[in-house]
Amino acid sequence: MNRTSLLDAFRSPMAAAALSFLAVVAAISAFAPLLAPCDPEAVDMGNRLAPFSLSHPLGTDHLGRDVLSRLLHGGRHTLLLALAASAATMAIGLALGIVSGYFGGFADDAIQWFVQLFQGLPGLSFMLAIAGTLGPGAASLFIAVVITSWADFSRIVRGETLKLREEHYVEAVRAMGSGHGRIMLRHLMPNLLGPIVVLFTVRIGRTMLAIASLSFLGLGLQPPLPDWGVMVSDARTYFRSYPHLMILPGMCIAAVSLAINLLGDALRDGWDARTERNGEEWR
Amino acid sequence: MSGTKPLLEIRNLHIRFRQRAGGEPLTVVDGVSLSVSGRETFGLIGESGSGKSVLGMSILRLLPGSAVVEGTILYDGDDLMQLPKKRLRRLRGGSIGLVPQNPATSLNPVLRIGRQVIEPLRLHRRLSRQQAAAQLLELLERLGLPEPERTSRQYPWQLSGGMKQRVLTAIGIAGRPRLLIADEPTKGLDAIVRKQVVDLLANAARESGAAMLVITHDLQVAAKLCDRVGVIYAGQLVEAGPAAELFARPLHPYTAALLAAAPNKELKPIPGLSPAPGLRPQGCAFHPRCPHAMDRCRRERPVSAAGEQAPGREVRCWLYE
Amino acid sequence: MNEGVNRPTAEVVRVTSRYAAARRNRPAEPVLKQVSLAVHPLRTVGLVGESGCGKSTLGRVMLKLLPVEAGQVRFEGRDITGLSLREMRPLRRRMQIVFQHPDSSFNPRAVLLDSLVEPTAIHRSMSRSDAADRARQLLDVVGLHPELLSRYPHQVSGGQLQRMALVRILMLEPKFIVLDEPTSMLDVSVQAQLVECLRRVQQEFGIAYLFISHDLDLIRRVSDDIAVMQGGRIVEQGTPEQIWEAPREAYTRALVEAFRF
Repeated sequence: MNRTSLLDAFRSPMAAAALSFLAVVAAISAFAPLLAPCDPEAVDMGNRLAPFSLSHPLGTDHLGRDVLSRLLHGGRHTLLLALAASAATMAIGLALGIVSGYFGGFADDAIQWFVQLFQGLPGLSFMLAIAGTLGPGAASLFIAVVITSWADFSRIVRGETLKLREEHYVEAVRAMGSGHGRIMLRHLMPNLLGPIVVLFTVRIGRTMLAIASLSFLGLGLQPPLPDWGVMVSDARTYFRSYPHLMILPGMCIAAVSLAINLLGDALRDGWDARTERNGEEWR
Repeated sequence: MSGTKPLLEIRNLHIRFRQRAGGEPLTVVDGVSLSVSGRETFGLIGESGSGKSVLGMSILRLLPGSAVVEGTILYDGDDLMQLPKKRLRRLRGGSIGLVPQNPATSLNPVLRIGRQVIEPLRLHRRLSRQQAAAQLLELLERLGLPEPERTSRQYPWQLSGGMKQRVLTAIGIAGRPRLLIADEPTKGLDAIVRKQVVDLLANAARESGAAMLVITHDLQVAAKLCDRVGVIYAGQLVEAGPAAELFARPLHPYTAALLAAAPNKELKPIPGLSPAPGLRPQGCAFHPRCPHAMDRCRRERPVSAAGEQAPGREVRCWLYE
Repeated sequence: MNEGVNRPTAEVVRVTSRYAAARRNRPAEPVLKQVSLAVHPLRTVGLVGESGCGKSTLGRVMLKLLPVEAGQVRFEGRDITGLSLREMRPLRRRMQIVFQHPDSSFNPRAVLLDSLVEPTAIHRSMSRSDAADRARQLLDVVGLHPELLSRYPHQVSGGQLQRMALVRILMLEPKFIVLDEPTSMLDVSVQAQLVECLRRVQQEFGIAYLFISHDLDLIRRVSDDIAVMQGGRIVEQGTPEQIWEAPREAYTRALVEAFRF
């Protein structure tokens, strides 16, 4: 039976392109301070809303700040936050999902009660509420994202765990006298990783959009931070005359979001192909 | 068998599968020729990886897109490989019936049994709703399903493995096929159910006068059901002939070894492993495991010698040059 | 009582078990009803019956992988029915199981060597390098090439995987092995290979087998004694000759009939 690895997903040109693009974005975001021609927060009221020029290839914004530099810096906070929040969600969801699925019984019932409670929360609205209560900023964004996402995640992990729990190799290890911890860590977790990685990728994309949206509404990251969401928000007033101030950061958000989704799709295809029993007919 | 033209004739069939990772396509069926006459039951015997199921599926062009099929498959004179899709669809489930493998997954889990069995009755026999409903019950009863009325309203998950197999058989014969292809009809079934399914198929074929191609790894099933059998190893037909004769006096060393390995015979192992597609040895595919292997077997692929040993028997082995 | 020679290695005495798996909506009907069976050292008891008769459950009950409601489970003369997980642990080394599906018997993400040394890692009975050596020795006994150790389960054939499963068990020096339909997913010729291997292992290591199967022909060839199960009960017991030539119960007769193809 042919078994492709998750990495085979990158044979598709779209997926490879998405991955390369994201790699470039990540590199740019990481090295922005070195790459940017100007300080993204340097105000120059004498040179506001300047057109494209050699010293400012993409012009300046309403406070005279270099647009190009701000764009280069623009992904840093959002991406980092999205990654951190998704990682935390995954960690919580994974831990609770495995415990719930593996032990069943009372622990399962208890955890699932919480899951159902949190799953019922309307995502974006709740994030708004939290951001509103705790005050805007990265910290409350982080909390908001984790609170609204962990439940869904843990449910999926639980489902997969329930399936895996019945596999012969788990029974074999139990028959050998293994303790619960070993089974969960060495036998369940690695086999859950496949679908989890796919979910994780998709989740980062959604989180990114949520953060950008909240920042746009003024409830997330705040000015003067050079962040794409903030930039879109700042440019609202000047949209008629200077549309590029809003369109450029908007395109960045859209492009990265799209790339992440394509990546997630490719990984999912790779995973599906891997578990697809196309070899069955040959037997 | 009486000199009439065969109903199904397969000539020099080669089936290869393109690989996801590219490279040389894997050969699964390697030049098989066989024929089935009307009213005859032909058994295709082979182990996993021999290519028998792929061959069966290829007749109705049910292979995945990665399959490359070369050769001729004649059904009642028409080349099935060249048939336009529309005519092929009419044949499927109608003139050629299929009883697929794996009852657990071959039935639609969200449709009731009755609905699934009625489909070929309406589609291929063009019966009205009332006629089809009546035929449905009659069919289920004939196949030994208790309480046909109740069963037809049930869902697949409510039935046992044996009952599901009967339902699949019902679907297969509902269209009154002239050729029935049964793919591993007894796989995974218990002994008692296996016996019932074998009787079931034998009766179904006899009553409808259909020809049957039975694909199986179970020697006893083949012995009981089939008039003629062919043994397939590594994608090639290594021996064929009348069932009783072949089992009593196997010619090819693989056939002999296979018979000896059965638990009701000597339970004698065959050393080595069946070659995976793509890893087939040079010369005769069986030579690494053959107790009679000669130098020639390592170098040259044996050709089919038909009718020389006995009428109606063919064998692919240098022992019989 | 004559302890030692004729003491059964594994035994159940009038056990009743209600659950086949830890699910909540099980029917009230017990899966095992008052079943008694004994397996003696160096002997093979064949357990035969249709699917759903409870034979797999009985095998697992004897290994205490499933709970019993009533009756006794005994091992090497000792009543182990009430033992806790912790108390069972040292005993688990001596009682093991080979499953029906070779493909899912091993962790798909682990290299076979890791899976094979896992039992000794769990019991901390030998260092990893010693365990690896022992694994290689045992591979030789079952007729497999050590090169297979660096492969993943999906890269190895079904018959080879079953032999690997046997090696994994042998690492712990068991005295009792439950073979749950070990060959039903294998081809006829591979089945014969595995049976021969099992025989060799039994002689060399002095193990008692419970061989579960629905194939009466196979059971007849491999067993010293046969127990026929139906609907959660053992309906008849006897030697292979007795069962085949002179079955007493109606069900046994029907079964034998089905095999006199």
